[in-house]
Amino acid sequence: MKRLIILIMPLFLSSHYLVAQRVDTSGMEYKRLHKEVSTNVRITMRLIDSVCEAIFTLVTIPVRDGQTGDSLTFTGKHQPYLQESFQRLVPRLRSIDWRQIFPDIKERDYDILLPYTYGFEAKECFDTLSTRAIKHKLSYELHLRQGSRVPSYVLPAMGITFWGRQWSKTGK
Amino acid sequence: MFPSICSRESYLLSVIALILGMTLLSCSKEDETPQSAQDELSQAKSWWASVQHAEMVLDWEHALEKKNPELVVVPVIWNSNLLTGGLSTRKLVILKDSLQRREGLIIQVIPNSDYYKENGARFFAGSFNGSLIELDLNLQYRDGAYYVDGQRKYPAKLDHYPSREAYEHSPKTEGCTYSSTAYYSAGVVTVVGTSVCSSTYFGGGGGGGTGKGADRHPWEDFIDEGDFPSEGGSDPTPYIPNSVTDIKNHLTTPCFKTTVTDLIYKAGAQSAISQIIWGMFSASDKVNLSIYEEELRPSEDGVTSGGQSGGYVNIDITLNSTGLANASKEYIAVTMLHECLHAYFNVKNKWPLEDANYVQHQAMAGMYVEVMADALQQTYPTISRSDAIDLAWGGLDKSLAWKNIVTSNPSEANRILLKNQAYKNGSSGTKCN
Repeated sequence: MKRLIILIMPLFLSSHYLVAQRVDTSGMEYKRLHKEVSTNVRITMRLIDSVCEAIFTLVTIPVRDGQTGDSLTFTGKHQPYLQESFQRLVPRLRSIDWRQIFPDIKERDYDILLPYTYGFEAKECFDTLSTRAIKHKLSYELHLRQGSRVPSYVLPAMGITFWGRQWSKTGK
Repeated sequence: MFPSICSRESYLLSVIALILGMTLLSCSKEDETPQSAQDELSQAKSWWASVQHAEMVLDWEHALEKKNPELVVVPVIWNSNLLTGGLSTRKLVILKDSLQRREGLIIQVIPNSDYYKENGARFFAGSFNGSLIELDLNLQYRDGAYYVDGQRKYPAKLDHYPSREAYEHSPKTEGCTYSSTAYYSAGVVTVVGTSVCSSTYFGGGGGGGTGKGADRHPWEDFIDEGDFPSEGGSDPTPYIPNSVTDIKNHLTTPCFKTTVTDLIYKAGAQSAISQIIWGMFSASDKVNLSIYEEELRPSEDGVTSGGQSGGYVNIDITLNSTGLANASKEYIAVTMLHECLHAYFNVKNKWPLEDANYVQHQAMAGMYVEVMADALQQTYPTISRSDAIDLAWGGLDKSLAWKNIVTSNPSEANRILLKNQAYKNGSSGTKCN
C-alpha cells in the first residue's frame, strides 16, 4: 500500500505555484532517483583539496511537454564541477516518471526542484550545513522563484558529505 | 480324486493367470514398477550417500526413474534467479550402465527469457532455447551448450564472476561474439558465457552437427519428463539484485584499465582480496566503489576517499595518473590492492577514526602483506615471491612493522625501497607501453 509521506507546504505559501505538494518518498521511483543522485555525484580529489566550503544549491530540472529537458540550472555560487556531475545524470533523470513521485502533477510543463547540499567532514576541512541553514536557504531560493511561468514541484533535500583525502599510498 | 484333480488344475490355472496378469500389468506400465522403482531409488540414494559431492539438497520425493537407458533424475532444491527474470534449475542425473555401475552428474537448465516465458525452466528436448550445463558432483563444469530450438548449437562456458559488470569487463577473444546469461544464487553472480566462434560452431540443424558437442546426451529426453515441482522448489518470484554493478570502473588510461581488469574483474581473479572486494561491494546495495584516475600529489600513488549521501556510502579509489605514468603493471596492481584494503577497512569498520590511515597501515603491515603478495602473484604469475612481498610493503613505511625492518635489517629495508622504485619507474616488471 502506498504511503504518501511528505507534505511540503509551510515554506512555500508565498509562491503561487508552490501549493501543497504530496511527495511519495516510499515508492520505487523516488528510491531510484534517490539512489542515482546519491551515488553518482562526485567531485574530484583536487577540488576536495582546494574547496573547503559547504554548498547549497537548488537544482532545477525542467520538464517540458512531459519530457525531462537537458539543461539543468543551479542557484547560488557557480559550481561547474557539480554541474558536470549532475549533467551526467540527465540520461538517468529522463527515465524518471515524475508523476509517480508527485501524484498531483497535472501539467505537461513544470519544473522539478531538487535542493542539494554538499559538505566536508575531512580532517583538513570540516564544513557542513545545518538543517536549519538548509531550510533558510531553500526558503530564500523559492522566494526568488515567485512569478515563474511554470509550476514547480520540490523534492526533499539531498546531499553528500565528503570524507576527503584520508587514506593514501605513497611511493618513494 | 476328481475334486482333488480339479482343485490342482484350478490351482495351476490360478498361478498361470496370476503370472500372466503380473506380466501384463508389468507391460502396461512399460519398464517401470513401483517396487523396482522404489528399489532403484533406494539404491540411488545409497549410492549418493557413498560418493563425494558438493553440499546440495535433493528432492527425492519428486525423483523420476527410467529404464533404457537406466537413470534416475532428482530435482535439486536450489534458489537461482536469472538476472533477466525467471529461474534456472538443476537436476541430479544418476546413470547406470550395463555393469550396474552408477555415474552422476548435475544438469543445469538456463532458459533464455523468451523460452522461459512460455515453458518455465524446464528442458523440452525438441524446443529448448538457452544453455544446458553439465556439472560434476562437486559442481565443477564439465560441458555445456547453447541450444536453439532443441539443437545444440554453440559451446557454452560457465564462468563465475562476482558480478555481471565483471563479466562484461573480462577479456574477449577477437573473432567471436559473446552472449551471456547471468544468474544469482547465494550471493554470487554466475555468468554463462556463450562464445560463438566459427571454429566452435556445432553445425546446422537436424542434430547432424559436426562437432563433438552435437551428439545428444542420453538424459536429454528425460530430465524434465517427471512430475517435478514447478521450479525444483525454488522461489518463483524472480529476484534481481540491484547491486551487481556497484563497482564502477571510470579509468581511462589503457594500462590502468587492463591492470584493474586483470586484478578484479578477470574471470580467474579469485584472490582473497578480489573476493573481499566483490563480496563487500556487491553484497550491499548501500556501499559503492568507484575507481578513478587523476593527477594527485606527486608523492601519492593512490588515494581512497569517500562520502556519505542519503544512506549510501560511496568509496572512491583514485590512481595518480601522472605519478604512475611509467609504472609497471605490477606496481599499479599493488597500488590498487593497497587502496582496496583501505576501502575494505573503511566499510568494515564504518567511518574511521582520526588516524585511520595510520591504523589501517598497521593492519596491512601486520596481516595483509602476504595476502597482497598472493594476489599479485596470482595476477602476474611471473613475478617472484620476493618481489611480490617487496611491492606489498609499498606505502607502509609509517607502520611499526616496517620500522622494525628498518631497525633490525636496514639493508633489507633499502632493498625493498629500491625494488619499489624500480617497479614504479618501469625499469622492473611488466611495462605498460
